[in-house]
Amino acid sequence: MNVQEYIRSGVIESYVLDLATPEERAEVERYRLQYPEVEASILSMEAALEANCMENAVPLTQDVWDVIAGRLKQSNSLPDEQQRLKALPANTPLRPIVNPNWRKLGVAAAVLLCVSLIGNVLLYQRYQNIHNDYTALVQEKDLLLAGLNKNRDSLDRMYAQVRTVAAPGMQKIPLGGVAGKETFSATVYWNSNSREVYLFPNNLPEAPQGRQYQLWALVDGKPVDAGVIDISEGLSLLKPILRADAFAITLEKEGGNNVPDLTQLYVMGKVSG
Amino acid sequence: MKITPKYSEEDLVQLLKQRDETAFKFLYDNYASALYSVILSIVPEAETARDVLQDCFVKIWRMMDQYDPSKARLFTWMHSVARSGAIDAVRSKHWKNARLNGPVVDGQHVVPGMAVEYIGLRKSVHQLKEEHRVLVELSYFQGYTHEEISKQVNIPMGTVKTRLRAALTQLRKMVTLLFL
Repeated sequence: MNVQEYIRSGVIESYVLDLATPEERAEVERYRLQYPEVEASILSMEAALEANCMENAVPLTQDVWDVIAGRLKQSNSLPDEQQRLKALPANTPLRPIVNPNWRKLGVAAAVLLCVSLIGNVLLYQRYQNIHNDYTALVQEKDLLLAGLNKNRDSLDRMYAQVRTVAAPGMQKIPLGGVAGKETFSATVYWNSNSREVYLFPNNLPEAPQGRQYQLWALVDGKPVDAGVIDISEGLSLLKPILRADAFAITLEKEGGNNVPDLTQLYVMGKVSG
Repeated sequence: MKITPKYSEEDLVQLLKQRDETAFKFLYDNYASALYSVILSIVPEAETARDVLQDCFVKIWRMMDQYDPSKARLFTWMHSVARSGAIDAVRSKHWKNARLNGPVVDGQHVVPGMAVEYIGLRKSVHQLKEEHRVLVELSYFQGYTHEEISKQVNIPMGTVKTRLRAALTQLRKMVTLLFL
């Protein structure tokens, strides 16, 4: 290539004035690195352009700058700033030019967020503690209420039992332990009018597994079944008895027997008068 | 109007890329009126030209990251920004007028009833011979591509390119003789 001819072709002027086609631009950019004469010609054309424009300069009023300065302040927006950061070489120290008010706002917002998060965690913990306490209290209340109901039931039962034994016509027949079982005792309450028979186990040992106490009424020397006894019940209503000379309790098989096993006699007592 | 630079061009570019406002004010103080003449040579209406100049400096401030000193000197780059901004303004104005008054005939921006005033590069361009002047007018002042000019003036692309290059060589000689 003839460099001088290339320089004289007008392509340099076209390049500097930004009138060249993309292909021409690429070509000039290649040659300016390759040929110092091309580079020199470009620089001299650039200097001529600048000098010409300077020479022809038309004065401006102050308000023109004021408008620009105002617009620069306005355009200090975030997207613009991000673009700037992206375009900077990696080793350039970043100079913070974010509007300081925005920075303060950002820091304040971050601090508020942290405080709010911590507050939320603490409140949630407190909520959990209180919720657990509440659950425990509800359970405790249920237990207490159940206990109270149980106590009221047993109180009602006791009161009913007292009313029963205090009823008119009620006869009290104490049953004492037989030979070898002197420590045991029970009481029969027998209403000869209504024929009702109640038993209160004052002191009877727990019946062994598969066995049960049974009350007998002795009428003219013969035992009559008066029902099996559940000693955990306290005062219990047994079978009605019309006549009786005495009452006795034996230990029988579960559900009772037709005939008493006299070897298992525990307590007995005569009906007075 | 020769200026004594406060910064070397390298330092000035470095500071502008860091968005140094003092450097930017220096840039404005030293180059605004020169760029204004470039704009005025394309947009004859002073008010619009001032708007274009303001846009141009905002663009320079924002696009500083994209400026590559290995491709052009700072002033050359600013000149391109100013020129393209001015051409865009004229085109959008033409487009608006075209909607109101029908097509506008291409030509010089002569305000009716006013004496023609040659501003900036036009001072030299109007001295070129007609076949050169037309090409500079259409490409430099009106921003048409070689292909568009080829269609408009009905001459082959190759001829547009060589003739424009010849015109620019002439122009450079005039400019250099005048100022260097």
